[in-house]
Amino acid sequence: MKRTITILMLVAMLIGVVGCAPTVEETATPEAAAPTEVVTAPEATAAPVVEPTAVVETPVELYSDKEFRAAMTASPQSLDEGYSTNAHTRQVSPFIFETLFTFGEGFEVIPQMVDTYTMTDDGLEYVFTLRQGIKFHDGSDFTAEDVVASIDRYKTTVQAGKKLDAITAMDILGDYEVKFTLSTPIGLLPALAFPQRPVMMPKEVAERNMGTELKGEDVIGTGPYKLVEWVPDVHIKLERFDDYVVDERYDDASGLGGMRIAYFKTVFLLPVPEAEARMAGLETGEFDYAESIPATSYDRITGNTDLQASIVIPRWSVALEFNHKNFPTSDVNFRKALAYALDMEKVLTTITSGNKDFYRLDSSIYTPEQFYNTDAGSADIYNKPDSAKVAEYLAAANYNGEEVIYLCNKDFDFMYKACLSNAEQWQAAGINVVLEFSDWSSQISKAQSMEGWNINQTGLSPRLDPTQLNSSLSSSAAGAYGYNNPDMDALLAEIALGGTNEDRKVIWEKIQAKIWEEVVVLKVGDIFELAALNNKYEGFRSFFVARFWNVTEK
Amino acid sequence: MKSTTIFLKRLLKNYSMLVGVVILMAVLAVVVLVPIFTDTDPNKIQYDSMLLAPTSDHIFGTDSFGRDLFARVAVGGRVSLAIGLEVTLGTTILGVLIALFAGYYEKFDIVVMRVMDVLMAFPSLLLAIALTAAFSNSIEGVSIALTVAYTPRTVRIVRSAILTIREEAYIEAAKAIGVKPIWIIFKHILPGALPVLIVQETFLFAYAILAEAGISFVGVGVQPPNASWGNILSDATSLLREAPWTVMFPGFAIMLTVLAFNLIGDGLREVLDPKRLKGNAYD
Amino acid sequence: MIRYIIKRILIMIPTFLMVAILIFCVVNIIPGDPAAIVKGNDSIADIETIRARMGLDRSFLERLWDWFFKLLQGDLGDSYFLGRTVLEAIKERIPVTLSLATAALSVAIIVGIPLGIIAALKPNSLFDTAIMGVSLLGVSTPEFFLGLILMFIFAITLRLVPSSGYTPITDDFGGWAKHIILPALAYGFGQSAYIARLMRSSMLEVLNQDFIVTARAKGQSELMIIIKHALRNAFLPILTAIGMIYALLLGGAFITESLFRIPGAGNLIISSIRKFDFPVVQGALLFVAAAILFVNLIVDILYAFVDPRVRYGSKK
Repeated sequence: MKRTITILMLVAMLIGVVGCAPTVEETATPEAAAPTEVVTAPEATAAPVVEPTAVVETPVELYSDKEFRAAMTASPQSLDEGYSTNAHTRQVSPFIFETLFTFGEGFEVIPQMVDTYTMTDDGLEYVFTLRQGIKFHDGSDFTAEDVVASIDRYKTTVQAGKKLDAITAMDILGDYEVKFTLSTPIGLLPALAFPQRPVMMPKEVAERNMGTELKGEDVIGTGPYKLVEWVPDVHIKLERFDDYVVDERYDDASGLGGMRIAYFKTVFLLPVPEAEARMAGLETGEFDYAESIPATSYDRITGNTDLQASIVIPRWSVALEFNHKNFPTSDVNFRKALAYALDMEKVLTTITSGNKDFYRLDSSIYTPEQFYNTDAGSADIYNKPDSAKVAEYLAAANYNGEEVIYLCNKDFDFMYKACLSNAEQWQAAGINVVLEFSDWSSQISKAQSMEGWNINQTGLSPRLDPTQLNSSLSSSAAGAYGYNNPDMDALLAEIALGGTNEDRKVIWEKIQAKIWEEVVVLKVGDIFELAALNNKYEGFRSFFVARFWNVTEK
Repeated sequence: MKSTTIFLKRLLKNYSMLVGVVILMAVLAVVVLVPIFTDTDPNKIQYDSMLLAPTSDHIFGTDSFGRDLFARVAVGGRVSLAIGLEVTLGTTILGVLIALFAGYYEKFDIVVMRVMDVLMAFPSLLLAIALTAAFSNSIEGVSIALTVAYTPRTVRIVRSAILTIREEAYIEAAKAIGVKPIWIIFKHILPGALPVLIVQETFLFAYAILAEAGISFVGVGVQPPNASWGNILSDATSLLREAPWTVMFPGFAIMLTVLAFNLIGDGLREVLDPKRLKGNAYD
Repeated sequence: MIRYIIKRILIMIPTFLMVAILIFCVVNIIPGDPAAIVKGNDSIADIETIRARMGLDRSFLERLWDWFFKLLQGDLGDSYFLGRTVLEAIKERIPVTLSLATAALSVAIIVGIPLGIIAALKPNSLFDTAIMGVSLLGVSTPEFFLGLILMFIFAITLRLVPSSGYTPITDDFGGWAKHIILPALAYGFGQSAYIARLMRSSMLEVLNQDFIVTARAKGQSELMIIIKHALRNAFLPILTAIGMIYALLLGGAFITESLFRIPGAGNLIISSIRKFDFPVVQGALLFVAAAILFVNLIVDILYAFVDPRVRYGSKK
């Protein structure tokens, strides 16, 4: 009996060793796709014509008839950004929809459907001149009427909140000209580019869907792909929109905008929740792209000549939120003690199982890739574990070993690992932290109920505009979990007024300094995600939203 | 007494049962002794030794938190075996008491058997999960839940043994003489039911370990950071490809232990009374 | 005979009702406030209003009575979180669990019965010891561990089948088969081991009986003896066992479903318990219990057909 077992074990281990050797797949040679000519109107000016560089080389084959199959972690429950803050909605939307302004590669605001604009000095009036010739997926033309209708409709959606309430009037000055009048000088451009974006849709569609979610036939935008079929939990099928007008002002894709070329005829976004299944499908060629692969698979991917790894930087900021109403996290001294008890590197190492390529110590809410990055306020407290200070602040908070409930989940592996590491360090520091596991949606709901918890484990996707932080810092926001500071509210109001990026950065530095001063939220660090795609493609640049436009075959 | 010596002799001749005993002793030795002799805390995250394959330092390798898997399996074994033991003892005591009184007092019997039927109509693992949730997934909660879920089996087995014994002549004789009922129950009936009980409980220990492993594996049993064989396996599932040892060792630990109990149970059953016990063990 | 069937069905009814009450009691002592979770998504109403809306402010008996009453009308209530009725949620999942349980049972029968018969025909031979040895390992191995090993060998290393997921049989038989084979093997193997052992001991018992000796003495061929006499009699206990096994498979499917990401009723129960979606837990548990009671009923009836002693009523 024992012998059988030993033999079985040895066999199992042997297979484990043998199985780790990658198998080389035969890749089929791609057929040459018939190039589609992009016709540009000839310049009728006397100014010197700049020779297009493409003349000397063989014409780039911009369009193919091929399919691209991407294995994603989940399926969105909605394709309407007005009704969902879900990351998966945000993943699909840019394929289909465009906005007046959007976020570029460095997370700065760039124009997308607006050609030029003017703004009065007091910031209360904007005139937008729209790009011409843009068509919707249903064939209708994009004009100023659609802008007004889309924005009116956006204001009725759940996610819009109060963001665009400052718009008191939108006047149509011509087919392609709109004037916005504001009651207070908010930063209109970032507000129009916001992650829950006011996307542009045909006037009739907007009027039909005031206050209701876009579904089915009404999912019509101006983006490079149109929605052909959406079967929740099965697939999303997108097809190239042949009448898409490429934005020639840019050299390449930039963030969610820029020059976007839909090389593939069809794009399938497939929900494959199991990381193992995504990897396996990628290796067999069933998928062209696999999202979110465990960092431990990095060596296997780089060792496989058929695959290329793509490290998505930035991807997640690991952060902790606090219940500012319940003792002891209601006391800033206690929160400081929590901060001084943590060696952030240990937490990040735990998350990535020691793989240094996948984490980064970073005390800033905005990552180094982003314009608003600053380490203001953090120098003395971020990643400066100090048991003397811990004791000092615990005493100042009058902490006597009360239970501190720490909400966590196993759905996101990085959160699970962060929880264990944080809990261990805090317990070692004498803080009676008790872990409470549930699934992600229940965890969020429990957090929002404000009852029976102190610390909430979370992860932040890259913050886009500083006004996005309202949902975590403003005294009226549910996501601030009871934090209430009029000084902070004042700073938030100030930055919402817009102005130049430099001016706003000055204000932002004050905000972040205050975040650290009061430990409103506690940032742990940045972690990166590993994605992989088939090596026969080039042009893929990682972004927190996976972009399959401008990706071509080699 | 002579019958006991014969009994022991037959016991020893049963080789596979002896193998089972040896395996069980080995498992117990590891589970009890290893945590005493390792100085590192098996729950503590070790930042410099994550996901190491088995080496001489770590004979089972390490997991994704850098913890020595051998120590983890030993500690997890304590929890799993403790739960197994508690459930076995619990079902024995509870089951015997209920069965004895049901077997002797007719009125009690009818009610009890209805209740037991209802409990048995219910899938035991699902019942255990619901009860565990009711006790907030604590280790004791798991034990209680599994005890409640498995007691009906014990009751049924013991009760049918009792019903047979009850009809025996010497019980009638004792009643006729005027021996007190309690005395009859404990001195005469119970010893007769003992062989069936022992075999049943041995197999029940095996079930309890499998059940605890199963519910902890799906996440509704023992919760982290407490370790049990089930949730060690659960954590390892996503590492199957990269670090198969994290899956193999805890899995084999469960298998070996359950195998040991099955061997012992089989042996005991053969020795005690093959005819009477046939077909009862796996109910 | 008919009387027996009717009696059996009648007994089932009070049992079912008591099971329903038991389910309600057990589920409702689970600590956890679904109102708090619902409130999280709704920032306007306060928790008391939400509780009232969900009917959670009534007494335990009131709620039990209400659930029971609706149950008798076929209304299992609405899920707190899935956005559909409990019945709808369960309906999509039950066929999946049934297909897994049936596939596993098929594996158990196809593998277990022949092996058990062979072992009985050559008792104490190498065959016998090998089969019994493997069976012993089979009943000792948790199905999720076996599942992981199979996954490792066949899905990850050899890439013959996908490692998780499910395709309904109505959509694509090939896809269904590919997805169900590993779970069915993992889940069914332990039961096949049990059936093999049972088959063997049952056969052995029958083969040692007097009437077999008589048949041999009469000169019947061994093969005929096996088929006409031994198998028919040995099958009786197997029949009850199969029914019991199917019930067991239905109740324990959640483990295999969880490992292989199969969207079945078991998985639904687990995730609903985590979310405190009590109506779904109650409804799903009820369904599973009903399925089990039904299976037991069928087995008892079949048994009655086959075993004359039951058919004609015997004195115990």
